[in-house]
Amino acid sequence: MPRLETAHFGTLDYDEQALIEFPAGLPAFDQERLFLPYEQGCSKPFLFLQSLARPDLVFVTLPVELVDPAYRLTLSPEDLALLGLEESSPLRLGQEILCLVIVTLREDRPPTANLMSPVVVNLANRRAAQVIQTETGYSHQHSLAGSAQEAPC
Amino acid sequence: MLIIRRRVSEAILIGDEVEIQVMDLSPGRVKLGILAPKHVTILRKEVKLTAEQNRAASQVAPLEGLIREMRGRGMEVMAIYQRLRDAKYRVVFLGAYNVGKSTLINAYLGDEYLPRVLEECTTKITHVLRGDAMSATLR
Repeated sequence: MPRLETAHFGTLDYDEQALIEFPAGLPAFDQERLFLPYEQGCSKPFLFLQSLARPDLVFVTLPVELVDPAYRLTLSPEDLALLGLEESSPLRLGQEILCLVIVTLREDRPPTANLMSPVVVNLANRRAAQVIQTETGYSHQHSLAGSAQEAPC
Repeated sequence: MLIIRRRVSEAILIGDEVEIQVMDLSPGRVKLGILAPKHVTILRKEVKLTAEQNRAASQVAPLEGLIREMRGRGMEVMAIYQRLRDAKYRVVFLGAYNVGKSTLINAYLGDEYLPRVLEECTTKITHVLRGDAMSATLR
């Protein structure tokens, strides 16, 4: 089983099937393609995306439905192609795709979630993309004060 | 902010090197053509905001705090679990002879730990404790 040295979680044994790949990288992290989704028993519902190439790079994410149960995800034909999804195929959260929002933690302010640019994962081929939502007006700094942070352990 | 009205196919110039032309209009949308030298970065603003937000989200210092807090809470849960596991709570069954105290306790424990006979049997106060093996002590 391959091993991964990380800056925050120590050494992780992982299954290569569990990796997700961003064929286009993420804005500001264009070179980072492979990430290991990782959760600690007590960190739920947070899901960490640990970079495979950079031990110090990790994103803290939450399933979008926990932040906004009525979230409307729009995928353009380009997004669908990048993820290897068919326009006609059903896209259900947790079934065919995952939709995660990246959380920004600050020492001095409440955490925020980037609802403007969710990470979408095609669970069938484990391809992922950060999909910028231009039409729906979601904030890139949606405040999480008092909601997800107090999620039960 | 400078505001300029333009029609389709008209253009504006920014400095000597950048030209922006209005290519097409549709309700709520405009298509722009941009001519600029290679060294000029052109980004949709949302991409720049996303890049900045990703950089902020990748800052590790607060994450350390979050993980510490989670570890701390994990320890709390473990402590509560251990307290519950190790503590002894006394539950008392009181009743007249032969009303079924032993039967009830046996049913709770899932086995015939206490003898049940029609005569007076466990007439003394009987303590039932959890242990590694079956044993009985007379005092």
